[in-house]
Amino acid sequence: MNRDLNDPIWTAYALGEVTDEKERAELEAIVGASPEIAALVAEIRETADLLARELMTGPEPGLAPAQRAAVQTRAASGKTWFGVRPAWALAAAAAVILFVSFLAQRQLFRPDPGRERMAAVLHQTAESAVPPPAMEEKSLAPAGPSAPQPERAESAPPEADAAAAPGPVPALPSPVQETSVPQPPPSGNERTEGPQNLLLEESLAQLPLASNDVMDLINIMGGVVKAEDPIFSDNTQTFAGVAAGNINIQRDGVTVSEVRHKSGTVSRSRVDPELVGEFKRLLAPVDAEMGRGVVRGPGGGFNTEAYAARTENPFLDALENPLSTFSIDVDTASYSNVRRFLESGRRPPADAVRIEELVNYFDYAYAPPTDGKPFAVHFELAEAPWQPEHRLLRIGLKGREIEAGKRPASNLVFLIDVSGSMAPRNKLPLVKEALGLLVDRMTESDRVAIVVYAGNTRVWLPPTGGDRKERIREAIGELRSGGSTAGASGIRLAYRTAEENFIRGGVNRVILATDGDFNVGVTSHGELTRLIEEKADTGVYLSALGFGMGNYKDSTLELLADRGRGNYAYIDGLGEAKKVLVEQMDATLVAIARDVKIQVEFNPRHVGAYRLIGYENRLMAKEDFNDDAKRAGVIGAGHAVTALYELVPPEAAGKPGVDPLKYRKPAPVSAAAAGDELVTVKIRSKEPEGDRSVLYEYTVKNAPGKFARASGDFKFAAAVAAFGLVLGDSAHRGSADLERALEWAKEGKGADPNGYRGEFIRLVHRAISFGK
Amino acid sequence: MPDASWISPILDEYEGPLVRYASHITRDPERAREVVQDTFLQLCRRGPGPIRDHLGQWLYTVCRNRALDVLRKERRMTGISAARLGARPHPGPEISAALELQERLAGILKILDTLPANQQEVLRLKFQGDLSYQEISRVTGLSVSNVGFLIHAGLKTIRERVRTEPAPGRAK
Repeated sequence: MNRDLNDPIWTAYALGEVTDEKERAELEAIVGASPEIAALVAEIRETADLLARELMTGPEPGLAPAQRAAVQTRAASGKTWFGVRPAWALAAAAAVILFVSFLAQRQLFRPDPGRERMAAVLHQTAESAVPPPAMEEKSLAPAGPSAPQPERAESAPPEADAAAAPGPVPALPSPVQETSVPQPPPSGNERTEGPQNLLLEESLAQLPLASNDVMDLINIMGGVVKAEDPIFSDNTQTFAGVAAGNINIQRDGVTVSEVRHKSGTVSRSRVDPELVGEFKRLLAPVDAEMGRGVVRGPGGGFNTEAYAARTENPFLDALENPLSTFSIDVDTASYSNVRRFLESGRRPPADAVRIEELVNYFDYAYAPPTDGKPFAVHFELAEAPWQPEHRLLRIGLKGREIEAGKRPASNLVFLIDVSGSMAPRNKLPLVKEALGLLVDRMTESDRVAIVVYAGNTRVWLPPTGGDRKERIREAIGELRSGGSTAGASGIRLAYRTAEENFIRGGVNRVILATDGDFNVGVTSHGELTRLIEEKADTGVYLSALGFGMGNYKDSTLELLADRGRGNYAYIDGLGEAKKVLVEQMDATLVAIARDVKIQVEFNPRHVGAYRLIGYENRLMAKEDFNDDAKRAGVIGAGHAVTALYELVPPEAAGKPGVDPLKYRKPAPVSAAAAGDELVTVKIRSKEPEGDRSVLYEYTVKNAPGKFARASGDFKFAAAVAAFGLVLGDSAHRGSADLERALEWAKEGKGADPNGYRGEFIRLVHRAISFGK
Repeated sequence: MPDASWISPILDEYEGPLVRYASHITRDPERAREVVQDTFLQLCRRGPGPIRDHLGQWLYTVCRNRALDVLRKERRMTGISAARLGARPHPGPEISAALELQERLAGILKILDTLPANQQEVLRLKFQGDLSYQEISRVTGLSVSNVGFLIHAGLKTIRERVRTEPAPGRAK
């Protein structure tokens, strides 16, 4: 430890600015051991007190009474702003919040290429006792042709930076020191004045309206140097190399000044090129909230939503690959997410379409088990409607139902993201409404706790009996958003809370509600998922509820819920909240079997090739089926899970793409293959608390029917799959298109007691209406 | 009639410190009041909701930018501005000697006034605005460690001068 009396750490320590407990303890030890340093700390504190007292006393200037009155009048009329809250105001607020969290992120954890440079500057500063310039707003002429080509030190290891939090952030040094300002483009390019990566004109036109709030925050960011422009400086601000002008707009009858980017304007301001992408990314939610088209650049552009790339299952030769093994998936999030896209007038990215989640969104009339097994299995075989030569095999699992009022006692810990990004109406306010619905259904044997996380983590509501609804509602009502997101520490606290109140034989579950933006903290996915897996093994499951749009991190949440043996739903409105938390409450909360795996063996006599539709990220190795150490999905009480296989009869299967083997004969078939069995379906699952799996085996006869005569449920599932094939740009969509999907869905709609199928039909109409 | 009561406690808490802070930038109390009024008006326009948890930081940020804008518009570059925050050199020994004479009369605030402008600013934000290093970093765009250095250096200078030239009635 540095014992140098001139180390700024002693000032920080004396002023209580050392927040890291370990470091503080170390410093304390040194202070205790060194009278010299103890005296120094005391002296610093004394001076600080003196200065604070001097600065805080004396005449209180304050506003003039008329000014104060004007503010109060405005505050009253401003009620329309946050009382009614038009969507665009929300959007601006969301963007600001994002910026705030972005700033925090940048300061705490951002890999900092300028770090070494900054350290050098600081070092120099210490010697000369003249601190480095903070900002420089003049002499921004582009670097001359002889200036060295700037090099960004991209190799700074992020771990080192995270470990050193709060790390230094490069306050923009003077132009001489600034090496991140890009060179002007080569001569011949007319934009010799601006930064190299000015946005293209066409993308400027798509940039969102930014509010003054956003501009205020942009202006304080290191990495932005405003142009000293006599003409524009009064009403023009700049970011990302884009000039913006104040314009007056009428909104809801009120004139407000907003800032709009002037399309195509070349700015003289300079922006750290590293930030250009950030600005675009951070402003994307504004775009989305305003219902404007999201511009997708070549690299994904403005869209900050993260979807794992999806590779569609291919057709496999049944002789070469007689076994198909996968884990069940009860998630439904992809459907509500796709719905959200379509309803906002956009086509979802193909990677956001997970067909099994679309199909599993809907309930099918599978009879529940009556033989004491955890689930019943139903099969149906008919022509594949998009390729009548092929067959479509539907495998339907139906979880055991629990009688009304017999739900086991539940220990629920809601882990709620209250970071700034959760502010919009479709996030935290919706979370609160959704929780309200669930609380209505809680009973005195249940326990509800709330843990919130943002910049830090706390127990918001200690475990409280489900009959104390007023207390719980009050705690929910008081939830507020603000701050950045440290997801990992929140999860730890939630697990601790759940473990302390563990109900043996009951439901023990952490329910995470977030937009998935785990942007600060220990967010190593590996570490997080290991923690979640460990806890799931001890009986505390994790479910994830995704909220909001814009920075929705689909892939993270799916992964977490998957590892936590929980389900993952995307809540895009109160209707969806009702479906997941009220109608399907038992399925959501009560697991009746876990590690449910399906292995299908195809009889090559009747099946030439096959393809599992969807479940791409649930595939397992054939050896994993019998390996009880390999995890798989959980099925909830009354849950219906559907899987579809497209089968190609041997006569219709094309010639294999490879030559016949020279040293081996084609695999011989057994006597059993001679029969009319099409497939054998094996299912393994464990009791929720059990460690050993039980095997269930079923066979399906090769008796395909006409699609026209298939059951309504079959037709509807096929329609949903076809819809997914089209939206997901599947190479195997055959003749499927949206019109046909619509037709099949109508044929299969049936009674539709909850109206979900009718909604699907409207959604397909909508997809058709704005083109394919 | 909508309710304006939410703004009153905020005004009570921040109007004085903000005017003082803005005055230090604009060197003109009247303009500082305008800047602060403008800052509060903007708060009214946006509503307090989403920034409730870092209201102080937000107010100082907006106030600072407005104050610097005023300076720029008026071309009254006699005070400090973002450009000058870091550029102003330490007073030379001669000036210091003259100022030390004044210190005896006016005390610690006079010492503060002799410090480089950027040290003054972070010290004011720290001890007048009661902001943390982190918050000051966000308001000013300086790095946290830079803020730490400036506060350290500023306090050190003040400490040394108070020690060598104790102002009457001020020494503890």
